[in-house]
Amino acid sequence: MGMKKQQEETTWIKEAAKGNPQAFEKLILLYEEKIYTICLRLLKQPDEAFDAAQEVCIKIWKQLKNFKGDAKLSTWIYRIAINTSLDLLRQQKKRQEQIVLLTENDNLEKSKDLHQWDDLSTQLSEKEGLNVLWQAMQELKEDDRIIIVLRDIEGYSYDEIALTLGISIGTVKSRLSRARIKLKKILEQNKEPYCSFFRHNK
Amino acid sequence: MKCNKYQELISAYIDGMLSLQEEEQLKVHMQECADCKATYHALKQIVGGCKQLEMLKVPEDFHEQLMSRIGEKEGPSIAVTSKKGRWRWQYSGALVATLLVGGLCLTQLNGLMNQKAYEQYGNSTHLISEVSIRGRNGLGDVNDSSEMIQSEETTKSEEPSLAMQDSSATTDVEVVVKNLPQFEVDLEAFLNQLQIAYKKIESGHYSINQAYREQLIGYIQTNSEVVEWKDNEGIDLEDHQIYIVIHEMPQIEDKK
Repeated sequence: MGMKKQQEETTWIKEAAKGNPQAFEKLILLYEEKIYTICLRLLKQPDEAFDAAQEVCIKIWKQLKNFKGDAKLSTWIYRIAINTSLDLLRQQKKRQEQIVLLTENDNLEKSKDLHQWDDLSTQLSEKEGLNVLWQAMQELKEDDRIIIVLRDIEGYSYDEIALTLGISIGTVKSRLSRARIKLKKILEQNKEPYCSFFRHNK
Repeated sequence: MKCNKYQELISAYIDGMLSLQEEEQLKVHMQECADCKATYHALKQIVGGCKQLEMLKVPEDFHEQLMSRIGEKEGPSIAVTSKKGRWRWQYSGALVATLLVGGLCLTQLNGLMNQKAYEQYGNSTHLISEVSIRGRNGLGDVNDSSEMIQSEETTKSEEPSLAMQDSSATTDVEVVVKNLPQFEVDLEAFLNQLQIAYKKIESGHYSINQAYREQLIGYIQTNSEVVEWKDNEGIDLEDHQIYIVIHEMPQIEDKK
């Protein structure tokens, strides 16, 4: 993070710790997505992840005054996210394998080794880990990715896509077809993580 | 050679976008062609898998819900305005002036509107709770808090005070209606009927494709009390979207 941004963040942290919601908002907007992604990765269910992520953000709001600045803010935030999610998992007494996976790393929660937290958090907060398809989509050219996002993720109709992109319906048909076929080719590659995609989803 | 032609149809077939004739031809072809059949199954899997990708996105209301919960927590009584919330505090001079039609004097109306703003704009609960946090009524609070905000140093320098207008350079039209929820329901029905692409950014804020600009303008004029087009040198035609902000009229006690 550049010097200027770092200084900005420090100011916001100070202000937010004093109870200034606007400063807090500036901070949390930078982290909401990563927090949600971590919770989703651990809890698997979107609505549970939503609630957990909300809890995490509120905890951050309340505990910012305790943040000493000796570690990176991101590390501190991600630790709260992971611990909150773990607590939830324990309460539910299910998905033991998730917990085992994490605590296998030498009592991670008690670990003061910040590097371990950083690595793990990076792993957890990256969307790639969540979905092979997502990763494949990142390999597409932007135009191809956009049309697939509009149709298959956002659920736009062909008409809406045509209006949004300013193209004809015929063009939507052909672009979408080509993009999907390209995506198929990416997923057919005989390398990780793709090699199991089509087998998996049979 | 022929297979290429069929390959292009498969995607549209999955979306139900083929004519009956094309569909028949494709189905017949797939019975004989293992390649195309395989492509069909593969694309189906991809389309199905993408539906799951939707859950990776942070839900739209996450931030708003969070900030309203923050507002509810006991904390110092600083007015909570989310980044999006700043929109709610603006009244352009012209808009206020046109509401003078009711015959109220400007100062009365201003006072009324500012007071009512707390309740009317209560789509976002943090605005309502802001009043209850301070536990006082009246216009004075707004000024107090905006002073508090302005006295903060660097972080506040770019934040306009509550009473000031935001540099809403991207708003194309501001509209005042009698009943905001009803207007939104009707507007969305209208847009869906004409298949106009739009995005509801939040309550009172829409980004609408201007493909059917004339009809949209007509609809807005007919169904709202006041319409004010922003002076953006006309709508930028490069930009396909019209950004519209909708306000609800404050309930004014004395009718004529």
